[in-house]
Amino acid sequence: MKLINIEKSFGGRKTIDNFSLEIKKGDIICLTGASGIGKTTLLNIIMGFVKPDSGEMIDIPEKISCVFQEDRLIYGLSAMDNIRFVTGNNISEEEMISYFNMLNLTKKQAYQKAEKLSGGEKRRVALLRALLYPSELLLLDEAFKGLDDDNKKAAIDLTLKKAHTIIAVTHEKDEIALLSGRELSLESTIK
Amino acid sequence: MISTTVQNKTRSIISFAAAVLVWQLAASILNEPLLLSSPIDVIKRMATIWKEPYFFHSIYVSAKNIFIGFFTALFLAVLLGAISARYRFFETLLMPYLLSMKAVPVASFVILALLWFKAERLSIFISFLIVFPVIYKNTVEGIRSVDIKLLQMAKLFNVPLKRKIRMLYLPKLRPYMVSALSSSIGMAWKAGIAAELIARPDFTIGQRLYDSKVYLSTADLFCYTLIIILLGYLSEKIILAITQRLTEGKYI
Repeated sequence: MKLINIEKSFGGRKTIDNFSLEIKKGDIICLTGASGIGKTTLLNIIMGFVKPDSGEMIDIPEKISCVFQEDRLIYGLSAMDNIRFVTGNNISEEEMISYFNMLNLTKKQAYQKAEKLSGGEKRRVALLRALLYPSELLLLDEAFKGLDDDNKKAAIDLTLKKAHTIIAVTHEKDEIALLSGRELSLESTIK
Repeated sequence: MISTTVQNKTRSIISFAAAVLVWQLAASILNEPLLLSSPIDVIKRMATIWKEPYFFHSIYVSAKNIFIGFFTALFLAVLLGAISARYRFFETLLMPYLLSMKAVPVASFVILALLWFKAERLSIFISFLIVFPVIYKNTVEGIRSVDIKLLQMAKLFNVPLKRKIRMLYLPKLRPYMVSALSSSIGMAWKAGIAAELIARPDFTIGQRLYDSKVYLSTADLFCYTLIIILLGYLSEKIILAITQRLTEGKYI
């Protein structure tokens, strides 16, 4: 996948200026940089939610998965139904529960309505949803924010097991280390 | 929680009993059954009215026509409402018809409809006309209330339309539909019977109401009024129970 000279402005302010990036299959890129520098915008451009003002995007994968900055869970549904919403019936109930357990979530929590879960639990459900969706590229927008060390470790372990090509937005040094990814600071690439 | 529900029910029963008492007192003071039948007279009449020829047939014909109008309106309003929620142009295109339905007095429509349709069909048309704008408006608002971020998420994960409708749109539509249906089914009964009263098709509740006026039978008028209220109430309960079931947010 290639992004060539991508530019994007909002209200006359240039958020992304002449940004280029090449990602090969199996790459793990950790995007860092101050808040408001355009990390989420860049992910939105890759997902097709935001159109760049100029630039070229080549070989964008058809199937992209994402853990958004907000959980984006459907609150009326149970945690498991939130995952079935994207996966359908491809995964058996037992297998699904075992994935919940891998992220230190119980069977009871899997059947609980999403709105009843704590912030950290919602975050892990959102991560599981993204990991269980068969995709070629996984985008993580501060996916591990708010998780304690044990849960973060479990979440990153499962992420590395399930996804191969990853672009992760993060501010945390420990997450970059655990993901063993290539750090790319937007401050150094975007002028 | 339980005690509050019991308290509310007790209050309702007491207020209802008090209203019946006031009615009985007013009827006794007036002492003119032609102007105001007493509750006792109405109960007595109710015990015999159902034995009259074509009683159940009249209820069946009226209910059938009102339900045809109601469900046709429901189907079309949800369909067109869904299209309008998606395409603003379509919504603008429908706006004059919707405004006419809401602004033009029902009486004008009744007279016009009498020229277009047979008397038996009038209540179908009128109940359709009353129900359509309410359900249409609520469908548009309900669909538009779905969070754009959830729609983006569903798009990214290529969620099939059927699943999106079942798990994302229907649960969100539920409060809008419950509100629309509970108000419109009662309105459909009232307007449908009013239309029958004007058109007087054979074997309908509307015709029976007209007969009660012609034969100066106030007790009959009260009986049929109570029957209409009961039918409206039962229809509302059944339709709402089905709606709650159909819009439940779960994976199937």
